Amino acid sequence: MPQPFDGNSEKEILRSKIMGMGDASLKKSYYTQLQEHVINLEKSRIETEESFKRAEANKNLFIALFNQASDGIIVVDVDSGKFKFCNKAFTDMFDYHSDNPLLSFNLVLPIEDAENLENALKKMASGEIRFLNNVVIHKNDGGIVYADISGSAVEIESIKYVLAVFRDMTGARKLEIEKAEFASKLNQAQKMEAIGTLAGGVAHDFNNIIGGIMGLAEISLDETQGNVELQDNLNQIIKACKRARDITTQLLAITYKTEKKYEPVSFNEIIRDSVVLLKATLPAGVSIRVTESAKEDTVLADHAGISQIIMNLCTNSAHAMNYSGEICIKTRNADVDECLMQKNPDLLPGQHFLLEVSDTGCGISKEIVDRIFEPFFTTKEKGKGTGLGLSIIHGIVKNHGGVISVYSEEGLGTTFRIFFPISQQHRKMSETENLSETLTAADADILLVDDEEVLVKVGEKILEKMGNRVVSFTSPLEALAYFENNCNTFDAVVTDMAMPKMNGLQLAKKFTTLEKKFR
Amino acid sequence: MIEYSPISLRKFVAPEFLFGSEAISMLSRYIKNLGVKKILLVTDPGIVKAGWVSVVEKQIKDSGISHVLFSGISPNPRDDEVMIGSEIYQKESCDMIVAVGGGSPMDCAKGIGIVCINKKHISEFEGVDKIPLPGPPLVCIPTTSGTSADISQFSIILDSARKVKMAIVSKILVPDAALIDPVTLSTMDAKLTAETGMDALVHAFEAYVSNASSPITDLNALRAVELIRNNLVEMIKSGGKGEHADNMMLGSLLAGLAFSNASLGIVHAMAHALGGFLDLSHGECNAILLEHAVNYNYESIPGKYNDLAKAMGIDINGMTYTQIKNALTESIAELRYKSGIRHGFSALGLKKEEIPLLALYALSDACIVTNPREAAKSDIEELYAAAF
Repeated sequence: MPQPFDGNSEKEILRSKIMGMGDASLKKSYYTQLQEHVINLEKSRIETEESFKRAEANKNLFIALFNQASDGIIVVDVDSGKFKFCNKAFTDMFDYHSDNPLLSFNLVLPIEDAENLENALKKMASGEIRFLNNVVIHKNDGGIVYADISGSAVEIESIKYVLAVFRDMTGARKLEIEKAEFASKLNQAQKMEAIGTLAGGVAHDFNNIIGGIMGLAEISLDETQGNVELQDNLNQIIKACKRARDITTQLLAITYKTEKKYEPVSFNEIIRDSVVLLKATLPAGVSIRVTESAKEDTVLADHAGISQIIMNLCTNSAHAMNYSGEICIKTRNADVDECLMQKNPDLLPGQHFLLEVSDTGCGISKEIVDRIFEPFFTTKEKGKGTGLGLSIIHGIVKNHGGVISVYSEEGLGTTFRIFFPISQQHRKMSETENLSETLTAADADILLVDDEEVLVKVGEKILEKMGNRVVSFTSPLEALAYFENNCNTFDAVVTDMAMPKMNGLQLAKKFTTLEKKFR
Repeated sequence: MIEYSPISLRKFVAPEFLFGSEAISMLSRYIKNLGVKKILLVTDPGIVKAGWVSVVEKQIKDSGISHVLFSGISPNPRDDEVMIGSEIYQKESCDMIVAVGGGSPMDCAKGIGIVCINKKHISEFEGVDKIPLPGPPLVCIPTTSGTSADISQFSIILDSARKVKMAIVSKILVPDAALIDPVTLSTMDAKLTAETGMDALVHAFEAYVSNASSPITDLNALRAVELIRNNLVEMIKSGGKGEHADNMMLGSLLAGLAFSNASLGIVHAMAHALGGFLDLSHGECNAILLEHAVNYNYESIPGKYNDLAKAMGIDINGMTYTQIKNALTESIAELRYKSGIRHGFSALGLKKEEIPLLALYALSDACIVTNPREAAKSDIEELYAAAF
């Protein structure tokens, strides 16, 4: 229901308002709204300013992160090939140092590589591929960058781009190659050692067997007394045995466990002596040039072994050059550091004598270069080479704590490099007298020890034939037991060196403690 | 009764207005000067049909501004129509309103403006000075010579649930500009010309005798009465064109300036009640009621009514108050009759038993406050009965 006005006062107030006398009675005015609007504008201005500052800070953060990233990052318009962004790591990767921004691949790469990369990025834009590993990128300056690339499509301000990340794998790749080389060398060394051990072991046993055959043949020869045919047969046996012994002796040189006595020698001197001999034996077409740069040349070595190395290498070189050309022998000192040790796992740190023998011969093909140190490996015609030369050298070098390596280019030539550790010991000024003299003993009591029964038999016969009395053992322990009780009986002891349970040296020491005579 | 001296404190508020032929063609300049982006054009189907909307749309187009048309308005504009218009305004991101038509579109446009800025239902603004914030820029183009909503601080909106016409009164409702072009009157039919003309006469009468009147409003009111009395019938005869129409437009404007500042009285209070209850034509109700209201009010303020009698062309020399009152009511009745309004409320569907309720509504209308005579419910019931 409508409510009539309540009394005169209410009516009077209303009338006053109608006349425009009320508190809120104003003509239409936008001032209040404008004021509010101005406040809002100011607020929004401050907000805009703050958001601008935040955006600026974000931008700076982005740029910092972008440029601090260790991977090269680019954002490329795939259609035009133009870069939108590219970070510092990327420009560093391709050595682009300029105040101008890097705009495209064309500025840093040869055309072909630039095109290849653009094509790869197009595939990444279409989602066809996501990763591209082990990419080889040639730089204009001739350098190479190995990179792993990952990329995907991105849309910035309605334009499609590719975001690509370049991870520089050059260092890692080089390390990988070095590792592989190292592993291959290690593998080769292990293989050589195994072959050496095998050959040495076989040779040792063969030597014993041949020693027995030859000894018995020689004894039998003495007893043939006019049987010419038998003498002839026995001489053939002895001749064959000598040939077999030569081979086993060479084989023994391959093994690393020979216990030769090394003494300080002058490497340069041995080279000089060997070259004199070589010049006399090699055909006139082969010349030898020696460059001695090594001032320190004292090595702890077996004179004959070193000589053999030089002779073998030069003979090989002459053959490789078809007996016409120059062999270069160079020597210098080399300080083996960690870098060199990484490349040659067998090298020890310190001063080394480095021997280089180079020729301009046919070279060695890559396929076989890893096998040249293997025994019986030869490229020569059947019957013209034993295939032992280089494996013997390898064995000798190894025994001297040295390292041998080969560098060869097929058709250009080959260089062998041999490292020998320099010895600080002083060389003997003059060769000592040859102590080896023929012992002639007769009418003596001799204790003979050898684990090879055949050799014991041969020894017995020889010694007895010389007029001695011989007591023999195949076991050093049994021999020792016997000697303990009868030490006064013997004038001399003849013992084999390599024997199971106790070697010759140990046995000899025991004897000397038991009997003063043997000291 | 309190007599007011000319130096009583008064306020006079009017919008910037352009009066005269071709005023309508100045619209594009107003739009440009306001620097707005999109206009809500508020009108009613009759104005669209009359062709004035396309004239206005051309002006808007010339200004290079887009607009959206809202013409879903009833003769007595309803609250839901205001809310729909406000939704369109906000949805279309408008920032200005142009109203073209009679009182209905203009009152509705005022309502739309305050609703979309204050974000409240239109009924929340019922009463005087209840609007916190002004609406967007509003330019009104009247096409009738009666309502004067284009310059007034009033907006009358039908509360469809309560069936009551809400009077929303505030200086904030005064439009930013009115483009008053008499040419627009040419499309009114005789009935509408009569009703709106009589409405303008009532505006002038009630403003002049209002207890909130002032010398400034009086000046406008009296001149308005003279112009209407001398031109209404001739204007109807001439089909809304020519000098009579021009004068009627001026009379309506002056009456508007008067009532917008001095407010109205018992006629409008009663007409609002009727209009809300029976959805009758506002001008027609006013026309039927005026002579009875004069008869009722005369004794409370005879001096002012005598001025009005003179303005109506009555020579009051030697006449007694009663003679003057009778002559005045007769002259009003004559003008009403000549205008073609010749019936009472029974002919419009009013039932006698509805009168007490209508009287209550009239007593709660803001316009009753400024009536020169304090009216009792029974007085109003008698007045409705007299006009039955």
